[in-house]
Amino acid sequence: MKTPVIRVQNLSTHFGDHIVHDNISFDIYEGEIFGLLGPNGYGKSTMLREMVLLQEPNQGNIEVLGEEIWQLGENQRLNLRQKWGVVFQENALFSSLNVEENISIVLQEYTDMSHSLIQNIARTKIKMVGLNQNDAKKYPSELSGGMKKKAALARALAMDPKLLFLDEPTSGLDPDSAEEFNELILSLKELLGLTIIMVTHDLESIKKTLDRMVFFSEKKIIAEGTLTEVLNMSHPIIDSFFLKKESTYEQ
Amino acid sequence: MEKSYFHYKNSLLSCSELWVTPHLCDIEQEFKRIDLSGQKSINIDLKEIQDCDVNGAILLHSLMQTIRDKKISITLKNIPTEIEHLLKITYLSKESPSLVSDNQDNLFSYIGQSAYNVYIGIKEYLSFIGELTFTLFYVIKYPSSFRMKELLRGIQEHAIKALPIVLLTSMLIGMVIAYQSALQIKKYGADIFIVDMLVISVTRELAPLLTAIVVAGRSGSAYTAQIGVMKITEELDAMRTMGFDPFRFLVLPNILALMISLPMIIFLADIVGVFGGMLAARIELGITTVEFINRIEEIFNINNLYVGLIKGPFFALIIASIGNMRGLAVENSTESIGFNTKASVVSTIFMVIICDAFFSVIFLKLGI
Repeated sequence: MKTPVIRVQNLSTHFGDHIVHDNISFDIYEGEIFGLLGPNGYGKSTMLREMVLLQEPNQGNIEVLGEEIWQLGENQRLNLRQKWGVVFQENALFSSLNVEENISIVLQEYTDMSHSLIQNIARTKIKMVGLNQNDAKKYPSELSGGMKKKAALARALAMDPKLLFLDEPTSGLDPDSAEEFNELILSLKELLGLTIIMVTHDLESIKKTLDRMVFFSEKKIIAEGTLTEVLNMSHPIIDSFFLKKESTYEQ
Repeated sequence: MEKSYFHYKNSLLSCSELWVTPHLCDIEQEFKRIDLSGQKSINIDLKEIQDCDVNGAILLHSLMQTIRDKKISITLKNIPTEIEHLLKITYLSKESPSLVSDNQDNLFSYIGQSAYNVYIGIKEYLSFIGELTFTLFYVIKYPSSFRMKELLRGIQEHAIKALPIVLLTSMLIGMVIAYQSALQIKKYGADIFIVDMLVISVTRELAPLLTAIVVAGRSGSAYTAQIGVMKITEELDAMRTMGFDPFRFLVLPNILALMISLPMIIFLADIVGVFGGMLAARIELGITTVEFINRIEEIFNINNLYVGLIKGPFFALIIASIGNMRGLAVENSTESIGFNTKASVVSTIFMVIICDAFFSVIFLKLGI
């Protein structure tokens, strides 16, 4: 259990004069659902983008599956990219392809599997994320928000990744769909032994799904650990983050 | 030695090695080489599989399906719990929709579809012009609702910023025309007539048409892409909910801006085009600037200039209305933006040329 799959060490990021991360470090272990929490604008999504090779940090190392990702050559990066799946906040499904094509495009690109096997895989993934087989031929513009999210998840799972990155997966979903999505994440983690890293604000997701988390605030990580450990840290920003949400919740 | 994923002996198929995504195509290939003919039933042993992922389990399902399709029954043996689990979650019931493609295109349906699309396109254009006219009357009735700021910005973006490229094109074409005809004209000793030819062709046809084509490529595509993206990101809907009619706030100012400024650009293109021809005439035929300008004064009929300028607003209307209409026609996909932008530029240039031919006929009949 205690093998880190992702290690972030002494990482710093700034945009011009604006410092986003100042010398932060944390580890993510195999098989856990790990949350990046914190108020808006404190670099959670930036952290996620840096972990999936979309944005280069200014200083420090990120190790994913034992490799320092920002030191890798283009071919090694390509290999690594096949070992993770990413679900973006706005889903980012390819709008000119239908759901099935969205899922099978990576398989067609990176493997020499037969057409029928790829189609089987796409259909199985569609079923695994709880979409209907009839949705396979639909285009993203014909899907509801929750269905798009599931389709994006199915696409991220196409290559059977070890790592799954989710950027605010439940934002924009109604409570039932969000609940359903949380259940789906948990069951997929159980079934496939995934390590899941997610940025989230949704208290329900935080309670239900996260094993451990880090809390970003003002360029630093101010808390790390399980939910109870983070709640025990008494810090005004953490308190307001959870308490305000808690009270709106109870109303 | 090549890895082997199967070992087949006495109707026992043993599977081994890693059944994970990167290896699946090799497994598929190897399976094709196994000869199962003449068997009624086989046993499949999964004990030796070292690792299997979800896609591996899906492959196993589809291989078993292939075997069953050959009327061979299967017994699975020594299934590791992990694989059993994966097989369970990846099981697809047979009633999933058929894999037959719904693509029934043939030549006739293609022609029919294309003709229908043209019909729809014309209908959409008419309804666009209708809404535009409505907005125009609305703005005339309530002049204060007109967006002067957008109009000025349209002139800045689509006229003033287009000047360098339009004028450069015009000057080069003037030079090329003068240079090419100079070679012919020299043979007849009719050197000074190059002025007549140049001035008439540039002011009547070349400057208006070239300006329109450059602006169509530059601004027509920009209108379509901008409005198309605004539609996809729901900015247009947001505007409507706030009572900002996109026709009044975007389309009408865009069209008016181009209608006002295109004649002015054409006028400048006239001057620069003739200037370019003058340079070429001086180099090739030795006609001095003074001679050239005196000749212009002698022969130039101001109607030639008007003929060129009057086309401006019409070309502008074509460019801006098609560009904006195509933008509004964008549907909810990025591909649609590409398609409409292309269609916008192509049909704008085509329509500009048609319109130009139409004007030629009219002016000929009118004797201008």
